[in-house]
Amino acid sequence: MKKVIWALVLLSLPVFSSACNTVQSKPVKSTDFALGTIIEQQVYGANAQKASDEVWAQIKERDALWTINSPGGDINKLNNNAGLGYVELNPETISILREARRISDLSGGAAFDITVAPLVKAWGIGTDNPRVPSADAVQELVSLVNYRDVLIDEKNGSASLLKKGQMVDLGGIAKGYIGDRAIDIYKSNGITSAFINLGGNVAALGSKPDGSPWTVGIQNPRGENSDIVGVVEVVDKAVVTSGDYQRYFIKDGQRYCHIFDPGTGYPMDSGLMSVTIIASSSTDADGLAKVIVLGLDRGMEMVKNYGRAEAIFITNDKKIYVTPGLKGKFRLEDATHEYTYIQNG
Amino acid sequence: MNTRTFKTGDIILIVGIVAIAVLFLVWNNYRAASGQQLKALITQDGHLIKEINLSDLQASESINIDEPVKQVILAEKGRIRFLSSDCPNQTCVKTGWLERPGAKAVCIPSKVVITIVGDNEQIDTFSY
Amino acid sequence: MNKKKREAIIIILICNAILISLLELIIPVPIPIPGVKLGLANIITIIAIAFLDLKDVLTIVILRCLVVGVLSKGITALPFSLSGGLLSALVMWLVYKKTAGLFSVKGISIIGAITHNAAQLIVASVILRETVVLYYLPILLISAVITGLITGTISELTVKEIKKRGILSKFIR
Repeated sequence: MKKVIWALVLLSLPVFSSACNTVQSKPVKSTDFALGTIIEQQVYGANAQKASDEVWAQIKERDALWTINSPGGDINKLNNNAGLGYVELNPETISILREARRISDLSGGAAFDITVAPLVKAWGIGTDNPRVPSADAVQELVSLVNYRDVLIDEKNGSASLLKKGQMVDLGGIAKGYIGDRAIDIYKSNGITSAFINLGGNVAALGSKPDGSPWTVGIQNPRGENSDIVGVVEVVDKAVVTSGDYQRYFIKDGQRYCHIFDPGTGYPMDSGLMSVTIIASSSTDADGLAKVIVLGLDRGMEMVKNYGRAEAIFITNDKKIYVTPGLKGKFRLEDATHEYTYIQNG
Repeated sequence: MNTRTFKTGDIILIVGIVAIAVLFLVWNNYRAASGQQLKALITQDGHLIKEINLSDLQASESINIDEPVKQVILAEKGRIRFLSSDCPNQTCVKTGWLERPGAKAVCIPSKVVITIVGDNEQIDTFSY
Repeated sequence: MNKKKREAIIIILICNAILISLLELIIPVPIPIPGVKLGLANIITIIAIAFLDLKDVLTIVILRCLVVGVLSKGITALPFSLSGGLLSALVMWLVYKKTAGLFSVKGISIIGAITHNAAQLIVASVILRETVVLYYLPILLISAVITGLITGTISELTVKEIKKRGILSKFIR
């Protein structure tokens, strides 16, 4: 009889243990399409629903304001008035333009420049009709690329583009910028645990409710969606990846990706397949990830000069270079066994 | 047969072993209970040849193995099994559906192992 | 003369072991785990342990595995049956000789069944290059208790009967 009781006690354990698991608070998860990409939020805490609703509202508003083709949007207005003088803009637009300038200054425009839009348009990468423009055309358009020609009049809340034909595209910074704003909204709602993923740009607040760090999978640049090469663990950090694999087309055996080298006017071809930046500011991480244009050595140097970011660089020959600060936070999880891990510095 | 033919050692042995078995079942169950997302790993000769997210699977998917024996593995939402195999004893096919983390089906002749793992320490999100 | 009789008995036991093993192939196993089976040949191993030397016991096991392997399962199954058969014979022999009176033949048979299944799973893990032991352990243990009890009971009766009639001891001891 005693044995039977023991057996029953032991058998009932799994029931209790599974019951415990369900007690843990459930996050508010939501997914939507905006800014030309998939956006996902996962928010924990009492105000989780309210906070994520606020974030969605803000994203929708900014999307209309900043999408390059949205008629009546700020960026559309700014581009249409290129070379014609100042236009009055939403304070948030002024703010992101200011941030864009700061990020561009980090590399002097070599890696990131919000005025590459004329080139993007000429190449049409990501559209139904990508093409390789003539060398002359590229040359001419490169002369229009200069982020310093975005003039901001702080006092009047207006901005202008210096030359006719110049265009601003916030695509390279908007997701990072909105990630930071989302974190602000979470914080103002008393949230301590949340993340937002804007098309692969992750901004995480705090840690998971159980205190463990968020785990962010790093995309295998040559794998299918959500095939990863490794996992990075973060607390209160943004994780942003720039890769040559998101949008590209192949013509005459040459692969052209959607990231442009502002200096040459051609899609970047630096020997890197992807760059992942881990930093406190998602705007900065987004901007820094553009060092993919500069290649391994110059890119790493820029990350080092910035000083407050860690990075994962993946080269064309499938080597993964990781900054020293990620030791113990990044682990290789490569099912293909094709990648080699290299501790940098 | 009467029970007197059992000796003390026999009783201790049987009770002990059943207890160990139950403990292990509990442990396997415990591990199973904590995973929500199910993933199936198919390995051959120790190498991962296919990874399927069973929880997110919409339509059924079959995986064919040609060497060294012809086998068909069928994955459906939340479960996976060896559907057919040209191996002699059919142990793998008889194993039936695997639906819980930790469950395994093995085929010795082809050295194919299907394992279900709960995405327990699953990745929270992806950066791409 | 004694030696000739002894060899004859060994050969009779081998033949019996082979026959029983082949017979067992007809009985379906409800648990689809590599290596788990009734293990009726275990009966012969236990009889051999009770009346013969370790060397003879191992000879019987090896020859039985080889013949059954060739006749039915093919050579690929050989590492499994050999490892399981030899290890369980060895462990049962040790328990039988060294722990006088603690276990009945049934207990020894259960120990043998556990060793047999465990050895097979370990070989399976080596061949598949994957640990399959832990997951199957509970099923393995419980099925070993059941099959060990069945074969152990039969062995016990047989050994008793043989002793009572003095069939083997007359020639060997």
